[in-house]
Amino acid sequence: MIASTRANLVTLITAPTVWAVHFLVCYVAAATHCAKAMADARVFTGAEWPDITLARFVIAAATVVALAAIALSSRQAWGHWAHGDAEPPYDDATFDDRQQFLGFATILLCGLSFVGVIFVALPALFIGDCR
Amino acid sequence: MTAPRAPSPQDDPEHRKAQEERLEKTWETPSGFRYWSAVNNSEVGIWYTATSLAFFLFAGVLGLMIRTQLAVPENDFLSATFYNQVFTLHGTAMMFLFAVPIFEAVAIVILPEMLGARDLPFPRLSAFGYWSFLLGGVFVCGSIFFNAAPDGGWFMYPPLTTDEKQTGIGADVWLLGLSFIEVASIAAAVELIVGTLKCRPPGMRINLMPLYAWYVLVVAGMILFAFPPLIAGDILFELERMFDWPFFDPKRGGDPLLWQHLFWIFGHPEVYIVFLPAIALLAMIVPTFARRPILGYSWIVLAAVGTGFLSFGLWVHHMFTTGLPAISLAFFSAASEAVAIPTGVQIFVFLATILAGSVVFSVPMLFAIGALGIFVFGGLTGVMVALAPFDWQAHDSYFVVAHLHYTLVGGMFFPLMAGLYYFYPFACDRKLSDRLGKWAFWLMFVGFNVTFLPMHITGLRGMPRRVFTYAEGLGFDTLNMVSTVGAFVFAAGVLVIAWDVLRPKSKEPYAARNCWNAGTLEWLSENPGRDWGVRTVPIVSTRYPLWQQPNFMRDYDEGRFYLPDAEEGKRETLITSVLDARPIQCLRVPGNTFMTMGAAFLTGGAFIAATFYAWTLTILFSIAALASILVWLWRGTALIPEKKEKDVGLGLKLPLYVSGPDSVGWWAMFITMVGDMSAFASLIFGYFFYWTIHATGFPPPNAAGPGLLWPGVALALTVAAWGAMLAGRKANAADKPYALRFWLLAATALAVGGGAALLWGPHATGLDPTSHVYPATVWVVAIWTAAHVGVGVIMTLYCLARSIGRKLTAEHDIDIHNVVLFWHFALVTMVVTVAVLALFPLAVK
Repeated sequence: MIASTRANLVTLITAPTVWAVHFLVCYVAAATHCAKAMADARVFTGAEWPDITLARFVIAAATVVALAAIALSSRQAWGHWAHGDAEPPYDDATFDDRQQFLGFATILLCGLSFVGVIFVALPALFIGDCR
Repeated sequence: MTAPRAPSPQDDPEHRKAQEERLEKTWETPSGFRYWSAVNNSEVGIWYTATSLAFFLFAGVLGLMIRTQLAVPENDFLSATFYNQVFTLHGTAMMFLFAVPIFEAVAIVILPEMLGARDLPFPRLSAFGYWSFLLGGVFVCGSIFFNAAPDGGWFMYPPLTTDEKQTGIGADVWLLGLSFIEVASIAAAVELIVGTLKCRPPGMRINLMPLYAWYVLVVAGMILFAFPPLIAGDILFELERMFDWPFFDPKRGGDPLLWQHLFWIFGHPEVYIVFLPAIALLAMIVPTFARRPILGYSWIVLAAVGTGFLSFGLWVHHMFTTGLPAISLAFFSAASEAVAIPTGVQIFVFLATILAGSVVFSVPMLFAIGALGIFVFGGLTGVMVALAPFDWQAHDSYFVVAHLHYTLVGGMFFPLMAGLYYFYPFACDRKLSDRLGKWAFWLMFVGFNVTFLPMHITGLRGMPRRVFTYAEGLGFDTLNMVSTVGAFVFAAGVLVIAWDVLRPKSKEPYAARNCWNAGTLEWLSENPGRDWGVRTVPIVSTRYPLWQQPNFMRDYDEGRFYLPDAEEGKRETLITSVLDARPIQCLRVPGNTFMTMGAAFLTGGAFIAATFYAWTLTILFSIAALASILVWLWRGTALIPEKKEKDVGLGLKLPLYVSGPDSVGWWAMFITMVGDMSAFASLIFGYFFYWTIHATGFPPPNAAGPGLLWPGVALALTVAAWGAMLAGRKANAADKPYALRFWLLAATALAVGGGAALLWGPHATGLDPTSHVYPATVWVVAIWTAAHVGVGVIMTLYCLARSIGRKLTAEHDIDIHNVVLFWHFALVTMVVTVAVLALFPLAVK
């Protein structure tokens, strides 16, 4: 979907889809890790809280990949947005207006998704165990 | 771009009059008892709206009963058990019978004309959805008159609700009645997505689409991913209640938390499913009264799409106190904070539009501004409870009750009232009273705040929600009394609106055409309204055609655009391409029928009979429902037109019959199956959820099944059946009907074998679903998949019958394309099922 030369509804939702996948990876990595690390998922019986180093690495890697994917998507959207003769607010009935509108909306969604990915990754920076 | 000025047949007034008469006759609303056979969006949409408002009033009365009971300490107005039913039904009816259906209802009323379409592509599906909703809603609400209403809270947490000693038939009423309505919601979502993408007027490129349509698209997409998990949860829940399959019973390996996950994967997006369409109304109202196009159109699209996605990452914030690890909570807390960004963007866009325009004050605007105020307050307390440590204090207290009412009333109810005053002249030809509207607004605004503002303090002082009474002197007494007084003031405002809507108005003049001086297409409608929806399908080249396209209304009235006539007396509308709205088909939409009502009532009968565990009746109703749906499809879909092409005006000829990805039916199948896959994914999520929580292994070490052999056979046969369907489609394209029928029969035989083999696996290895959650999970996934193969078999036999009946041919091949598309999804379902049930246990051994 990244390779599309024309903006469409799929390129529009690429970045938020990346956000959703990243969110799932973070949650599944940490939740599975903690559930498996503790004898019983919600009753703590060990001496120390199990740490989640492995999950944190997974989350870090997923975050880098997700941010890169969103950056790619925004670079592509920038191409859609920057090339054309339409003027904001892109409300004429031309191909350029449509293309630049979608490009601009995609960039906005990339920004939101970028911030969203960072938001979701932050807990793994601060929390190191399954408490 | 305006309509051409060259001489046109439309110049002749006699000609136009004849056209109008033909259109009137074709789209005429039936009279007498046949009125109820109508399927057109203007009738179905009005019924839908009126019914959901009626459920709102009903649920509102329940709310007043709650407030009356809590007015004074140790009150005995309601008994404890009846109080449980009242608050459960209040929440249930408000959410499932009012907030979500009203979105579908309003969209069915206004979307087609906003898009210059005569109707949505599947009017009978809308009618089916409406009758399902009516029956299901009456069934769920009616239960309280028999002291049999659900009483476990609107989110029905097990183990309370799986315990048949503590909760009676009410839980079954909830599960089955609402599942039935959810199916109707998904049907509406399919209809609205296809409508938005494919039924726009020529020229309305995606950058010119009214913002309301953007929101409808996003919300309908959300329904596809949010409702199916709840349906999956309902299935697990009913299997536990009816057959003792221990999905939520920890003694046998189950876990009540799975229900909470599935419920809130639905429940949190649902809040936004409720909120976004209401905000969408503001996105239409604010520009009209600010007398200017909206500022930041792209930013609204960002907000709608962004909120749609982020809202799926919030569900665990309802589960902060369940003991999940802090890191899990923190992800959801972070996402809950992030969703405030797009939500805030929309508020700022509205404020900017208001500031940049010259505002005309009016009743809709009053409600719009009141809505923003209340919603911002609720949003801010939302940011508070999104923080896990604060939530631990406020959880299950009246603080949460206050928060959720601020968001829902501010985010949904007030915008809806703004929309009611705004669109009433469009739908019902006359304006509502400005004077009564102002009274209603101030009564509701003051009453609402007097009711719910003190609840924040009541909650922080420690009053838990859902208690039927409280002791004197705990600091709750005055606050509760104030809330109760406020509730009745609020109710007085609602009564004023109800009176304004219902009072006879036949002596009042009709509202002027486009009485608010708005810019979008729906305001082309005349008062009194015409049955045809739109006089002609216009060519659109701006976001606000009535403001920005010269002579637009005159050209429209003179039928100078597409489809100004109904020569053949058939109901028609235009289908256009997704991004650029290029005309690609003239779609014949089906007309009035009682079949949809019959199909809905028979389907509902099956659900209702199952509530009472009346299995014979359930089976009879199911067979009758299936038969009625097949009759409906046979007589009303994929109709072969009398000619290939039709001149739709302005020198354009369009095909009347298209199939495959060009056809709306193919899109509907695709979208439906996306929803179906999300229900299936929820069941698979359940499997892996159990895997994570079982320290001793999942499958348990002593589990015997389902083995590798029978699932393997099932997979092989299903792949072969799928291949036979592909071969059949190819044979049909080559115009070889006998080869087609051979392949259809082969696919049927292979598929029956595949489905049976899949069920034989757990049976042959002796998996007893009541003994432990593992066999229960294997069985439910296998049954789900086998049922899909079974549906595929029915569809395949339907194609066979269509071929024999010469309704499926090389040229007219809608059915086979859509059925093969179903088989693609059925195959994916089977592959995943076998991989999970048969291969995953080997991998983790």
